Amino acid sequence: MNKKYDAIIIGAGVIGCPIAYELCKMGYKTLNVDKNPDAGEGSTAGSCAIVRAHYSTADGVAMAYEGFKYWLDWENYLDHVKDEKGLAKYMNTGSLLLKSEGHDWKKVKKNYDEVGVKYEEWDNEKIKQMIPPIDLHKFWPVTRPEDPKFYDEPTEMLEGGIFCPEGGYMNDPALSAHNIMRATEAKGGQFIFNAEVVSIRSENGRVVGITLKDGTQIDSPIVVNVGGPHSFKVNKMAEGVWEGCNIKTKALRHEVMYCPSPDDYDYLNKGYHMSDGDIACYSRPEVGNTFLIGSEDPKCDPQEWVDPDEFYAGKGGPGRDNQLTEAQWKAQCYRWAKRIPTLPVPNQPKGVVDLYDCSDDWIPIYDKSDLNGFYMAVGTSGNQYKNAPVVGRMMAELINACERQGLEHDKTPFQFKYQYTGRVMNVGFFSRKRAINKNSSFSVNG
Amino acid sequence: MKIFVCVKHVPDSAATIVVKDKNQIDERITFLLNPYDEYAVTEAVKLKKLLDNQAEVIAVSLGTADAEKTLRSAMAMGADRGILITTEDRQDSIITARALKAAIEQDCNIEVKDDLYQYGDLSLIFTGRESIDMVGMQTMFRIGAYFNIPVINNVVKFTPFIEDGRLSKAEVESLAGEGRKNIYEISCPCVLGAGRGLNTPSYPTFPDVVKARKKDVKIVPLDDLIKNLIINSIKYLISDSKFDNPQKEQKNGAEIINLELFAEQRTPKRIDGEPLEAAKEIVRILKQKAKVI
Repeated sequence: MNKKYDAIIIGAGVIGCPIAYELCKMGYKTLNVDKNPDAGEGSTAGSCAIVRAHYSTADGVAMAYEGFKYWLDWENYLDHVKDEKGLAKYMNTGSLLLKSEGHDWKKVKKNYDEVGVKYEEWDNEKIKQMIPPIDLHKFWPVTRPEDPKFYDEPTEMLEGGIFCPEGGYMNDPALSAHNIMRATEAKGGQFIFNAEVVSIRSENGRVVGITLKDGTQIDSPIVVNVGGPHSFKVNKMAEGVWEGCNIKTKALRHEVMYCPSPDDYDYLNKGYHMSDGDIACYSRPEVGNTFLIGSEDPKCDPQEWVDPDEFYAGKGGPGRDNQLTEAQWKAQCYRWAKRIPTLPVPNQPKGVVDLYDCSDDWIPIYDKSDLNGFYMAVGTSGNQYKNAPVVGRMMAELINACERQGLEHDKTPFQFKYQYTGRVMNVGFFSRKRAINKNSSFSVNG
Repeated sequence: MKIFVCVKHVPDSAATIVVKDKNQIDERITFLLNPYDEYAVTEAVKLKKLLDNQAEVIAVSLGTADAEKTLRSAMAMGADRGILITTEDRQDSIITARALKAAIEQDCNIEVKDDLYQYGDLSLIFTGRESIDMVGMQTMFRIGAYFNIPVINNVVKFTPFIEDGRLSKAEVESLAGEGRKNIYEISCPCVLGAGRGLNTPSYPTFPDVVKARKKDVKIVPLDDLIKNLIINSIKYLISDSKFDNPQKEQKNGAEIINLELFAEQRTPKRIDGEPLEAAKEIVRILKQKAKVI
């Protein structure tokens, strides 16, 4: 006899775990299946785990702001569960968005006003006072170090920034997923690891279960794809699902770098999360007083779409595997080193290479599918970590509305009410059937 | 006064090494300044400052055209200019040391008079204590032997004696294994192989990188360098007839027949229990098994 569950969630990362957690709280018997050895060990572990509110759409801002409230109230959210590994910690550094041509900051500001996000406008003098080593010259347009223009002397200055006192990062993204796993288990949820799904079984247009690589069959009338960078492979396993998506997902290789902070600057304790469209980088503090430097995907940078299995096995080939590349190391570190002119850039690249599960318009798909009982929370595009607990609640309510209340979500999109901000979200915004959202930043900025 | 730093363009230690054609590595990986050479460059730049900047720091390397990146890294860390001896092939430490010696000699107008070297502008030669790819620890000793000057490797402390603005001698501490330190007084010029702990490498900032782009790198093909040497016919250099054909000599000398990946065996052991007990167990392992404390 095959084991049976009310819902199987493929993936035990920072989004898969909260979906299970919320379903369990609603009385579902859940199973998370993950090919990694533990919760959060996939692309979640490589996340910068930044919690910031600036998004290019008001809905994006609202969701991030709602998510912030969960991180702030982490122990309560977990219902005070014990985790033998300890609890991940939210570091509220505050978040500075520099006003630049690289971000539509006027739109962000309008969205902040609409949602009620607290912010201050800082002029260059104030920024310099708060971040002494910063150079506020305008370096736009974004170029690469191979381009001689990269070294041109800047002449103009930026025009300040928008500072949100509510923003920061979670100090250990993998641990945060592990915490939610323990909370889920406390509510009856189960997890299996080192288990790779090889097929999704369906009968008469409805999902009936999954089959693992070792041949084990597990049955469930509900299967949720939260496969991260493997999401497109999982969708292709389910009958008619890939074909039924207007928006597709694929795996994008991404590098983040570590550089030590200048000796005279305590970035770890006094620094902010910063988004800098002028040089297409963002940064946040990391242990050891280092800058963690990420890229905002400028047009001049190559995009490496890869096979996630080859990538994680280190077999995708140079620039397509999980090794840092010298070219991107220099591009990101030198860009940030223009902003912080005393930043030391080591000769040896140090950082993390991982994958985004990227959708066509860089906005996620949180939706049902063309196969009854099969749902997806995919295409998180490097910018959804902060929303994970909200997404967990939203997906659980969506699934419950469709499965137990007969909602036809494609016709009458589910309306999700945020617990903290009280705002109502039209979940149809994240539909797989949507046209490409032209309002998107088409980058990790979301 | 000239302070030379011999640097090597080596694979990033974090790269995944793939062996191809049995005896070569797939070079489509990041190559960078040999990490030990970072200490060497940093110490050379410190010495220049002690000499009131009345000295020049010159980074010199034997490698492919790509090795210019490593020279640029050394210049971003403060070297004033670079010399790149270009070769398509990987050379062993015999050829490497001779080529480096020849390039330094040309740059300093070193001559031999009455069987004695006249060292001209040469103040000191730094190298790293080893290259992390070949780990041969030979090149610095060969350079010293060819120049007939003393060599100390794995240097962790360097105290120069400066008289009338010139470097006359130095006190040098080197690590000799098992935590033992040797302390030497050494005449200059000499060759010093920089070890970990000699200093904290000073990594370049963006303005340093911009400056390094404008610094001069002299490119000298290995074959041209050798021809010149034959014309000059300095007897300490041309001690055997093989040197007129480095390719041939490489085959006669050291040749890599087979490269095999060596993965160090790691057997992690989890220590459970209360923090106090776990700490005691770690101390016991460090004392009794690892014998490091």
